[in-house]
Parts: sequence; structure tokens; C-alpha cells
Amino acid sequence: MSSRLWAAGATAAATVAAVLVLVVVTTAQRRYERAFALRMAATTAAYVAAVTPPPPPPPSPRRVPRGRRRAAVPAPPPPPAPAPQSPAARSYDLPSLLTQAHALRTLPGWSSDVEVYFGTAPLVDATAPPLSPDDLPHLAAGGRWRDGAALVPLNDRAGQEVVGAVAVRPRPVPHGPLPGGLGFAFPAAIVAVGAAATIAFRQHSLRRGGYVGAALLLALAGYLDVWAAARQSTDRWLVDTRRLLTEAATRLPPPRARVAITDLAAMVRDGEIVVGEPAESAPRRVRIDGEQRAVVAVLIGPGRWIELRSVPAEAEAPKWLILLLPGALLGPLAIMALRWAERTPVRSRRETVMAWGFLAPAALHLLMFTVGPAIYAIYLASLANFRALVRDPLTWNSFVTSAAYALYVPISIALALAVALAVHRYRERGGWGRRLVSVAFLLPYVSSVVAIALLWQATYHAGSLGLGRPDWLSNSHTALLALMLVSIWAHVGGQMLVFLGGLDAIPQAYLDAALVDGAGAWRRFWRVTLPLLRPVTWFVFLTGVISALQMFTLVFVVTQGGPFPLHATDVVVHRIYRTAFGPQALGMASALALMLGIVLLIFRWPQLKLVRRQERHA
Amino acid sequence: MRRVLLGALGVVMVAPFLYMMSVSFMGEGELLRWPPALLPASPTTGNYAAAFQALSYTRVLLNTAILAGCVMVGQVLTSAAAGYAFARMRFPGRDRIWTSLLAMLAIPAIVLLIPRYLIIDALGWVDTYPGLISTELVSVWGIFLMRQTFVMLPRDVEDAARLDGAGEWTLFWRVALPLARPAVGAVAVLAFMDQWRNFLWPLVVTRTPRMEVAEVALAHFHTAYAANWPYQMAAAVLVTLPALVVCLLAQRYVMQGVRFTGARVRL
Repeated sequence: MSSRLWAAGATAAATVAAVLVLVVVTTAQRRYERAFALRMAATTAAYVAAVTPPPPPPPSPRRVPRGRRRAAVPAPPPPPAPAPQSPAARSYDLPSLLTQAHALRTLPGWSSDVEVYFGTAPLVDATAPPLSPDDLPHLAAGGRWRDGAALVPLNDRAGQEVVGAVAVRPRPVPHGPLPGGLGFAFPAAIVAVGAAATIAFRQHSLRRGGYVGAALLLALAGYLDVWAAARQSTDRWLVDTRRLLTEAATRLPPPRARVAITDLAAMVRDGEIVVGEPAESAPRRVRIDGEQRAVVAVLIGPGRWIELRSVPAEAEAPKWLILLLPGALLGPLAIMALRWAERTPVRSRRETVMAWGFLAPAALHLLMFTVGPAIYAIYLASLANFRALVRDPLTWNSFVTSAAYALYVPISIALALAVALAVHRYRERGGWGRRLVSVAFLLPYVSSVVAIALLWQATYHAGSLGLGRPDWLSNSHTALLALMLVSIWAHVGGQMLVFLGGLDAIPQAYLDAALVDGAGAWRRFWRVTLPLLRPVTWFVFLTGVISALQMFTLVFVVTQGGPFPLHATDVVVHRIYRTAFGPQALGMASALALMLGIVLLIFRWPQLKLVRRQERHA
Repeated sequence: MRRVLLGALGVVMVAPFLYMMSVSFMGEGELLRWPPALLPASPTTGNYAAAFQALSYTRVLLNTAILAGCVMVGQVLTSAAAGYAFARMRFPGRDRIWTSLLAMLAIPAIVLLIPRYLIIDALGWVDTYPGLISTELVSVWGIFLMRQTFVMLPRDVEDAARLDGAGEWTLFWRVALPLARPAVGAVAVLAFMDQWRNFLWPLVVTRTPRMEVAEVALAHFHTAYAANWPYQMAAAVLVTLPALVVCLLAQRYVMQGVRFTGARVRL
């Protein structure tokens, strides 16, 4: 490859990486702007619903003039009581709605344009195109983004039916502090591409050219821009909502002498309103009960201040790093690959490309579904969750329960080893008998686990009838033992077959030599058989413990963690499942899973060492 | 004496299954008597007909077969390809990548459960076949087993084929893979059985009965008909039967799988 070509390739790779980062940044900025607009539209719809009065009651039917014929006419049925919940009564007074909508348009200091639709007709700008009739039923499912505006449903006063829509079109605002409203990412991208071009055309090494540093700087600049956009979306919402709240305080329909905070809080469902104190007008970030909150002070009457709070959007901005960092590092990686390709002879270059072709499916899958999730799990489980877990007695209970349950492993291994020693060398070689017996031992390894759980539950149930008391599974003291018994039954056959395989592999000559030396059966077992069986035994033991600590199905089907209130069989994985998919505390569940993962590592490490030794042996 | 011991143990292993079969033919009240009936007084197949319906057996079986089949094919292909690359090809960083791959074995599945669920949710794949299948398509143990096998294959055949002008792909597909058939069988049977009995992931990622696999459907069946044991046992037999057939047909590979996994049942 000529050096010119190489330099052009490197510059192209750096450009692609820089453009990728810019695309991610722009996408994030647009996402946050849309999120702001949708949120603002929802708040505006709630505002409109709160300040617009219901239509005046329909004129009451004219009374029949009293006359002489009154007696002859049967008394008219009493007029139906005006149902307060009739659709018409739940709707809005159109003239007032028109006024409120126009007032919104002229609200000073708002950063968006607003349009209110009653039915499908626009109220503020009457010449704007109306909505199509199928839009409203679609909107009932939730807000959506259309033609540069956030469109959310306007519900009737009772919040039951969609009677119109509110559209909020955010006005463009500068995305960064640099002239022209530019953020940091754009200049950083130019610097990165420039650095790549310089080192490529001057033939410096990648390290000396500082391109890796420039690429990291690009990722950082992109992240700063995304973070600023997130912060801006929260701030915009706070400031504009403050405007609405002040307005609402004067407009809430009579009879109201004084606006109550609860009335305003009903308008701002995704925020929080508390009594506040006078403060500067810019939104601030404060820590409330250990959680970061964005707050702004609102004046709603003479000397009456409230505080509007919201979860700051930038708190979850780091998730964009998942896209930004790989995007930015793509450039250096591509250049490194080019450099390597330049130096390597054609044959081994072809072999490498071929190898990565073979590896690619597995590698991509592992990145996406193993490495990525593992990092994500650590990110999900915050320190606060660990602290809460350590304080929760149920956590400790679950770990103790799991550890107690795992005690069945040595028991079943000892049993399996004893039986294997007893029947070894006396088995029928081949033939139907042996085949049938080993199929019997393999049964628990192939049959449905839920079926095993059910059949043992049925067996315990049937067995308890004669005793005239609840079965073992309903007794807090015996439930775990009953489950351990099932586990021993399920494992012992397969473990025995594995030990038989291990015993077959021991050369008879060793045992004969020991016999010649006058060693008894007991001594032969301790000195010859067991040491030679040790790798197998260790492996079976470690995998047994690892799988025992991850037991779930049996508990889920049979006891659901009970008998309660002692949580007698509430093993760790069951606790994780309940935490994650009961109260949806995913971060907490992830933290618990990580704790279990660390415990599992204690057993996994020696297991992997065994595997590696076996691999080298092979 | 020892043969008796082995036989006795075999009986202990089989007896619960026989009892399950027996109960599945009983009437509803027969299990509530003491001493418990070992054999049905008047065998009936009504439980099976009813369980077949209530379990929506064909649908559930189809879902399980799709899951197990796709994962089996996926794991065999990715494991064989990756194992071959690690065993037979030379490329920069191979040994380091192999070590980090083995280190991935230390990440337990339970840690990955919640993030994987969130990823599948973000992709909009909850309650779909892609959601059910995609996370299971690659197995590090499978790659490990295949690499071991390819490393131990004699190189002579390959060299001969190479002299005949065979490309790398032909070598893999026509020469190495057929020679590694026992390992391929072990990976396939292991993947199939593991997915047939997979419970936690399908439980988390499916919502509607339409997408349920056999294990999850059986667990839900259990909650719905908690007191009717014969009914539940019939459903349990229905769910166990297909796996049992596979076991009888591929007993050698199942044994290999049991040995390779250190005789663990994912209870």
C-alpha cells in the first residue's frame, strides 16, 4: 500500500468516526428537545383543563304555563336531573377556551409556540390546517411527535375522553456556548480529523501524533454537548412551567379567593410542588433526601412563593457514552488496523481476516449480550442500592437460605461416590440392563424441571395424608430440607455416572501395585483412588455448588419462597426475581445479583483453573 | 449384591416418574385418601384430554421447539466457527482473546438477567421469538468444547486437503466439521436440553400465553389448578415426554453432556 493511499485511508477513517460522533450528539440533542416539548405539551394540556370553565348549563326546558287544563294533562315526567358527568358537561366552554388559548400564545418569556385544538379545529391560529379525524383516537394512546411539534391529547375536565389536542413547537435555541450556537463537539471533531490527517501525511506514529487523545477529547466534547442539552431540556421546562403556574394562579376559575398548592400540583404531574421561599430566578440543582433535583422558585401571589421540582434529565445522560465512546474510538482502531495491514504480509493478513470472519458472529453476540449487559449491570446497581440491601434482613436471609440449601451438594457427592465405588467393575458390560439403568439415572437430567417440582410436591402431599398434619413443604423447619432431598435425588444418578467414568480412567496397574505392597481396601481408596479422582470430584463439587446457589425453578413452583412469614425457602435468585419484577426495583435487583455474582466467583475461579489445566493437558 | 444395589438405586430414580404416570390416570379425589393409591382404581384418560386443551399443548410445544431448535442450530454454528478459528488459525491477539473469553465464563447468568431484559425491552422484543431466542444463541462452553475437539484432530487430513487446493472454508465445512461430529452432537444435545428446560429467561421475557414455552406454561397450569393433582400430573407427563424421547434416542450425547457440565441440573 502506498503511503499516500494509507494516509488518505486513515483520514477517511477519522472523518467517519468524527461524523459518527456528531450524528450521535445531534440525535441526543433532538431527543431531549422532543422530550421537553412532549412534557411541556402535557403540562399545557393540564393547565388548559384546569383554567377553562365548563360550558354554561343548557337552558332549562320551558315550563308549561299554568292553566285550567292542567288537571286534564297527565303530569309531565320530572326533567332528568342534569347529569354532572354527561360528555357535554365535562367539556369546555368554547369562548373561554378560545381566550385561554390566545393568552397562551401571548405569554411573555415562553420558549415555544403553542396551538390548542378543540376537536380537530385549531383555536389560536384559525388558518392553520386542522387535525385529521383519526388523529384524536390515535392520540388517546399518548402523545406523539409530528411535523416538528409535540402533540398530546387534551382530555375533558374529568380526564375521561379526548376532546382536542395541544401542540407545542419548541423554538430553536442555541445548542452551545460557542458563537453561532455551536457546541464543543463540532470544533473537537475538526481537531480530531486534523490530528489524524497530520500524523498520517507526516507518517508519525499514532502515539506521537496524539490522535488517540484527540479522539477521546472528541468523545468528551460530545458528551458535554449531550449533557448540556439534557440540562437545558429540564431548565426550559422549569422556566416555562413557572410562567404557566403564575398565570394559573390568576386564572383559575372562580369561586376561589386563594389558590391552593394542591390545585397547581394537579397540573404538574411529572414534577413536584412544595411551599417555597424567595430565591433567584434561574433554575438550580439541589440535593433533596440524597437525590439530585432541579428546582425553581415561583411567585404565585403577593408574598407567596412555591418551589417547582423535577428530576434532572442530565442524571441519565451518561448512557449516551455507550454510543459516544465506541464511535470516537472507531477512528484510532481503524487506523491501527490499517497500520497493521500495511506491515503484515498478505498471507497472514488474509488468515486474520478469515479468522475474524469465523469469530464475528460469536464476538458480536458476546459484546452485545454478555459484556455489554455485565457493564450495564454494574451501572444499574448503585452504591445506594448496596447500602439499602445490606440493611435489609431479607437479603441476609436469602443468602443464608441459599448457603444452607447448597449443603446438599457434599451429601449427594458422597452418596454418588459411595455407590460408584460399590458398583464399579461389577457392572454388566453393555447389554440392555446397563443401558436401562443409565437411562434411569439420566432421567432427572432430561425431564422438565417444573415437572420434577410438581411430581415431588404431589408425592410430599400424598405422603402427608397419613400423618394427619401438613406436609414437609408447609412447615418452616422442614421445607428447605424437603427441597434439598429433591435435589439430592435429582443429582445423585448423574454424579454417580460421572464418577464411574472417572474410575474407569484409573489404570488398574496402580491399584495392583498398591495391592502388592500390601495396602488394604481402605488404604487403596485413600491413597490411590481418591487422589486420582480429585479433579473430577472437585469439578463436580464446584459446578454443583454454583448451580445450587442459582437454584430458582424449584422454589418458584413449589414454595414461592415460603412458608411465610419466615421466608424459609427464599433463595437469592428468587429474591432477585421478586425484587426485579414485583416492585420493579431493577437497580436493587441488579445490585443483589452482583452480590451473588461475587459469591459465585469464589467457586467459579478454581473451576476455571481446573478447566484450563484440563485444556493444557489435552 | 452390587447389582442389587444398582437396581435398587435405579428403582428409586424411576419410581417417582412411574408414580407421576400412575397419578395422571387417576380420578380427582383418589389422591385424597389414606393410604394413597399407587395405581388408579379406574384408569381414565380424561385428564390428558383436558390438560391437552388447557395447556394449549401444540402451541406451547411449537414455541419450545422453535426456541430449542433455533438455539441449537445457532450455538452449533457459532461455537464450531469460533472454536475452529481459535484452534486452527493464527491472528494477532489470539491467546489474549481466548483468555478473556474464558474469563467471560465467570460472569454468571443471573447477573446478566436484568440488563438483558432491559436491552430486549428497548429493542421492543419482549414477548416475541427474537426476544426469547437471541440472547441464547452463543455459548462460551460450546466454543470451549469445539476448540478442544479441533485442537485434538490430526492435521494430516487437513494438510492433504490443503494440498488439493481446498480453501479455508472448505477445510472447515467439509473436513474438520465432519471429523468433529461427536462434539457437534454433544453441543447440539446440550443446547437443546438446556433450552427445553430453560425457565427463568422465558418466564421473564414472555407475557402472553401465545408465546409461552412448555416449562412456563406448566408452572402457570400448576397455579391455575393447584388442588387437582391428577390433572397436573397429566400435564407434567405431556411436557416431559418429548424430552424423554430425545434422551432415549441420543443417550450417548446426553451422557457426554452430563459429564461435560459436571452433572448439574438447573433446578
